Amino acid sequence: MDLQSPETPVRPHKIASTKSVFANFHKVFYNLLSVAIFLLLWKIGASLVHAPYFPTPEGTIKAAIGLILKGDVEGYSLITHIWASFTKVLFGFGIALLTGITLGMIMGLYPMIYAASKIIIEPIRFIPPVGWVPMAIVLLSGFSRFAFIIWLGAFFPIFISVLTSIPKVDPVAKDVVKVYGGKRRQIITKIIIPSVMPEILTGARISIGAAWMCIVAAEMIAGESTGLGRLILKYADLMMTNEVVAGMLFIGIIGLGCNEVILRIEKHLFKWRTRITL
Amino acid sequence: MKSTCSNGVRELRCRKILGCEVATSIRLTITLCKRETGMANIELAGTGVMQFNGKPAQIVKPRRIPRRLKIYGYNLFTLGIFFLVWYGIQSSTTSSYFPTIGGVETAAIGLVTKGDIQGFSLVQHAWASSVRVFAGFGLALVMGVTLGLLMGLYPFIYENSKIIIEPIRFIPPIAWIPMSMILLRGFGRYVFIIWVGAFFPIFISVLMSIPRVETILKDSVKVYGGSRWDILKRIVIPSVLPEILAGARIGLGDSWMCIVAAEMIGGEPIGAGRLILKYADLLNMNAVVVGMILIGIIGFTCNEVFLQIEKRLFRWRSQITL
Amino acid sequence: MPVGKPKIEIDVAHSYDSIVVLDHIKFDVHENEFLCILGPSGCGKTTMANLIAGLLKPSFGTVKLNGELVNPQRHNISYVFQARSCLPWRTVKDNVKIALEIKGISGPVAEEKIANVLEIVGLQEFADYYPNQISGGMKQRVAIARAFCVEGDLLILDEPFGSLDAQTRYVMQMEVLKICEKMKRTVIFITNNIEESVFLADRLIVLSSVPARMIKEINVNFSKPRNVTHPDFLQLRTSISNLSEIAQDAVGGSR
Repeated sequence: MDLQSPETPVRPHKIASTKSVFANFHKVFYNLLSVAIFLLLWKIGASLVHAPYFPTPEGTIKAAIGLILKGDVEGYSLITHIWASFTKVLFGFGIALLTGITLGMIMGLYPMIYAASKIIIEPIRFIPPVGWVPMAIVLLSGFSRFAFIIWLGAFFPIFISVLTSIPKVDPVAKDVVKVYGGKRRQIITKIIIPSVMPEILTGARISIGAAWMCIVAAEMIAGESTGLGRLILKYADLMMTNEVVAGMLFIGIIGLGCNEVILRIEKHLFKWRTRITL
Repeated sequence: MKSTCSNGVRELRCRKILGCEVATSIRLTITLCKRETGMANIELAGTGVMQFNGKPAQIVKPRRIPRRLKIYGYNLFTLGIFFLVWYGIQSSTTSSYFPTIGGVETAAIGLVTKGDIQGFSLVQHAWASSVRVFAGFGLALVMGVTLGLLMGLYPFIYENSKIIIEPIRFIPPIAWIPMSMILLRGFGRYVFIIWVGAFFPIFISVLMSIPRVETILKDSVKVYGGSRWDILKRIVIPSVLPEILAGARIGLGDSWMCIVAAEMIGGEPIGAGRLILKYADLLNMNAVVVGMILIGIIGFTCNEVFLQIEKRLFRWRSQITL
Repeated sequence: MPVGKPKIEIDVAHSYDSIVVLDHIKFDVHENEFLCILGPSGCGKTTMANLIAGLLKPSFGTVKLNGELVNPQRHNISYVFQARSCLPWRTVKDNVKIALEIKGISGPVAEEKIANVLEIVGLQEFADYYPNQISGGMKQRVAIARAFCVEGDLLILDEPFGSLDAQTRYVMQMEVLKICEKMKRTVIFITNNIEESVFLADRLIVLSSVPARMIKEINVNFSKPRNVTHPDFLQLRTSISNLSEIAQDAVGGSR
């Protein structure tokens, strides 16, 4: 009996095999199949519905290509639109990240402050960011208008994430630091922060989704002349549904992209975790 | 042998039996230091070997302000600061449109009693919005749960349709608004938007929670000869019900947000979203604030209703998230 | 029997709100002594351990280390927790290192200590693994390694082998003896397993179930390592289990 290791620990690296390659191919094939089925259903649906404006698969693809190459009716290229939306999102999201984590940590470590300010925080939390848009239109202008709306949408998921994950930190881990003579500051840096990092990132992922949603809404309601939200509204006004769908798909893909980026970061940073949620 | 301690524990009588110290009688008199709060004397008396009066000691708790009251107090204090800050901003701001505390109050009373400019009452606005939400939400709930169960139990379908589902999932429901404005009319338009907002959270919730059902629970039904339908009915559905409700709660919140946006963009004349946009156009910020508060209250109530249902129904759960 | 001024003087009673958990416990621990605290599950042994380590302040009474009130920020206390205390975001090596980080020891001195102690517990190959990649027994060994890399006034182990299987348990008991032989420490070992306590202890204190009080204090004079089948060993073991039975009957069954 081996005295050193009674159980075999898990090796940290995997070796690729032909089996896994084949399985991937399978997956790709089936995915393509489902795309095909979906397009077929769409085409059938389009021909059944006699509305003249119903988007069709070919129409959408043409519109998408058109948008990428030539830009929209007013001459703005797709990149301009995407860039316009994206910069606002990043800015608002960045500020929300900073404020959300800071305030979340403070209120998490000193729960009395949170309990005392609940009366202000809760109502604001429940007014949807879109509800603030009219106010933002009147009182603010330009960039700050959008930044504010996005901040509203992105702040709360992160804030709540941090707030609720601080009490969940394993007390045994805190005791480990305490018993070896650690002071409160060390408990915070060595135990609490590493513990809540995964939750912060999950909150950030939800936040960026919310931020993205807010910017689209804000652009539709308030708008400047550029921005993806404005783009699809413009085409809707012109009854060009294919372009609208193309725009929607672009929005969806960018949202998906952001989510994936953060998900990858999570997976990479947190190898020590046993389970990742969606 | 007597021994005394710094904090007043005394009188431990011991005898030496077989070279070991055995406490034969323990008379534990704990005199607590008399603090300002004034505690009482406790006496735990026990006699004989291994015989101990096992009743918990009655420690009189000092009279202190109960915690709940303290929190209410702090909350009022924070509210006070909030109003102070608001007053400060409203006095110092140059914009003539900034909502004032007094203005909001007047507007609120006006809206509640007389209704808005076009004659619709506040209740009508709220009702219109809510009805749309419930219709769309109900539909989304039914479809979300069914499809989620289907795809959860047969993960093959989901895995291979991911390439379609994921991009669509990430299209914010609000982005569907322009499309719905062209293709649908009236009530159907709103129901559609809400459906889009509520469907995906519920669907994903169900989908993700089915694999998490503990195998051991399913096995306990299997071992007694249960069929697949039995497992579904007895184990899977009760297990995922809490997650479904949590997803529904989030879905409702999202739907609510969508309806407000939809009303702002494409409107009918009534609806909470339309209300605040109307007044924003008229630059009557005070009424806008009232409308916002209304929206917030409705959203909060929906959330609370769900939370309460969750709490009642799922007492067996050890934690509820926000 | 070690003589001289006791290293640790314990004289406490503890209650949570209105429930008395520890009913006047008083004993001393001497330098380099291996003391076992034996008691049934749930009798407040972990509370006792936390009081001794200074993590909890006793409701009544004091715990003194070297004559002054115990304070983990001043004294060097090592503690192996009953629960898994491996920090999941740190590798095995970093988990051991955290004790040194807090004490302010770093650099090559620290590296050497860590390597040394990992070798003693047999984990030097797994230094870069994460806790979710190693087994339960190994996680406890990490905690033990961590406890031993700090020069300590006191080492407390709270039922460290409770969740391990029987064979791993025997192995770990031998290892603890071996390490304590090599690096002289004052040890307080808490357990609910009578055989384990008789196997390891220089001195044994038997506690009753809640509210816990000292039933007996026993000096074990057999030489180490002990033979679990020796008649003297078995006799002592039986006498203790009889003791516990009486204790449980008197207090109305175990809780």
